[in-house]
Amino acid sequence: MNVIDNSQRVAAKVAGVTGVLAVAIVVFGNYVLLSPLIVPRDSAETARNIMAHQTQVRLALICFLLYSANVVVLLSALYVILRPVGPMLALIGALFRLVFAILWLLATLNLLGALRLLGTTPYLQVYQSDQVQALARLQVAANFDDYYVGLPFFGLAATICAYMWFKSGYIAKTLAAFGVISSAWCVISALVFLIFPNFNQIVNDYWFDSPMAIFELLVSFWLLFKGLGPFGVATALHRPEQTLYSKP
Amino acid sequence: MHSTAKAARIAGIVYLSMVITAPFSLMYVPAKLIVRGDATATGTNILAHEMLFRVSIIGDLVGHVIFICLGIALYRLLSNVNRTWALLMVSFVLVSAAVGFLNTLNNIAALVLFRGGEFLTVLDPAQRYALGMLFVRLHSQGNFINEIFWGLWLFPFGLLVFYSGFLPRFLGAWLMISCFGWIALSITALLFPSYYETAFRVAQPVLFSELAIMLWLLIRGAKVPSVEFATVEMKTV
Repeated sequence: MNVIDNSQRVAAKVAGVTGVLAVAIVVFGNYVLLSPLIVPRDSAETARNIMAHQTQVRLALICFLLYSANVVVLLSALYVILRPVGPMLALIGALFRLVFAILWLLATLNLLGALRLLGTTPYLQVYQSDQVQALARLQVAANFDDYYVGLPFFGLAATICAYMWFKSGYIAKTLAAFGVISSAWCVISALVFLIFPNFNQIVNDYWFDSPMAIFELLVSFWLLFKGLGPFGVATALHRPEQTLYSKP
Repeated sequence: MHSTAKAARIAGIVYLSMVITAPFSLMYVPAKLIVRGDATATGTNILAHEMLFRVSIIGDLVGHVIFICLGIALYRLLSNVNRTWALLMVSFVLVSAAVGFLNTLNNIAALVLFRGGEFLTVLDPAQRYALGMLFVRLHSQGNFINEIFWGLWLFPFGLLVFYSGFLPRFLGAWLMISCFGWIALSITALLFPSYYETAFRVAQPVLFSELAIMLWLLIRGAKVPSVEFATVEMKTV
C-alpha cells in the first residue's frame, strides 16, 4: 500500500482549491466577460462591442492571466501528489499542462493585439477602419486557435493524471476510469478538429472538452472534501521519499 | 567549499549574468530605437541600427536561457528546504521563459515588416511600418504579461530564502513583497495603462530585492547550512 505523506495531503488541498478556482475563473472570464462581446462573422459589430466595453475585455485578460498562474500551481500540486506513483509520468503530465498554461498566455497576448488595433493609436490611422476591424477579428480568432492547439496537451496531461489516479487508488477507480476515457477523447477530438475543421459540425465543440472538464472539477471537489485515500488497491510504482518537513 | 555554499555562489554568478544581459534588451535598445506613437521613425531607427536590434533579439533569447539556468541553480540551492515550493518556483520560471521565447517572435515579425520584401508589396510603406510598429508594441505587451510570472516565482523563492537558515530572512521577506510589486505592475499595465510608468517608478524600491539577493549570493554566499533548523522552521509554517 502506498504511504501518503503530509506534503501530498497539503498538495491535495491545494490541487482541490486551484482546480475549482481554475474552472470558476475561466468560465467567468471567457463566458461571462468575453464571449458576449464577440459577434460571429461580424467584425465591425465585434469591434464596436470591444471598444464600448474595453474594461470588460481587460478584466477578461486578467482572468486569463490568473488562470495560467492558477494552472501552474495546480500542476505543481498534482506533481507532488502523483510523483510517488511514478516520477517520470508525473513529470510528463506536469510539463504537458505547462504547455497548455503557456498557450493561454498567448491567447491573452492576441487579445491585447486586438485592443491595440482597435484603439486610437496614431500610427494605425493609415489603415481603413474596416481593414483594422478585420485584423482585430483575426487576432480574436487566433485566440480561439491558441486554445485548440493547447487542448491536446491539456488532454494528454489529464489522461496521464487520470491513469495515475487509477493506479494509485487515491480517488475512486470509477471516477479515475471516467477521467482516462474523457481525457483521451478530448485529445482525439481536438486533433481531429485541427485536421478537419468541420468536425465541430458533426460533434459540437463543447463535447470535446466538457466531459474532461467535469472530471477535473469532480476530482477537485473529491480532493477538497474527501482528500487522498486508499480507495481501491494502490499499485504504486515507486515508494515516496519522506520530505524534510513531512510528518513521519 | 561546502556544497550549499558552492551552490549559492553558482546561483549568484548565474544571477549576475542575467542582471548584466537583461537590461540591454529590455531597456537600452527599446529606449534607443522605439519612438512612441511614431511608426515611421521607429522603423527607420530599427533599419538604421538593424544589427543592434538583432543583437537585442539574441540577448532576449539568451536572457531566457539564463533565467531557466537560474531557476535550476536556485532549485539546487533551496530544494532541501522544501521541495514543493522549490518545484513551484521552477514551474513559474519555465512559464516565464517560454512566454519570453514566443514573445521574441513579435520583434522578429516587426523586423520582417520594416525590411519589406516582395510578398509585402501589397501593403504600401506606411501600412507596412504601422503593422511593424504594432508588433513592436505587442512585444512590450508580452513583457507586461510576463511581469505576472516575474513576480510569482519570487514568492516561493522568498519563502525558501526566509526559512533556509543560511540566507538572511529580510531578503526572503523583501523577495515576497517584490512578488506583489510585479503583479501589481502587470495588472496596472493591463487595466490602467496610462498609470504604468508612474507605478513602475514608485515600485522601484520593492523591485530591488533581486539585486540584493544576487549581491548577497555572490559576495556573502550561504552560511554553513543547518538542515535541522530549516526543517523545524518549515514545520511551523
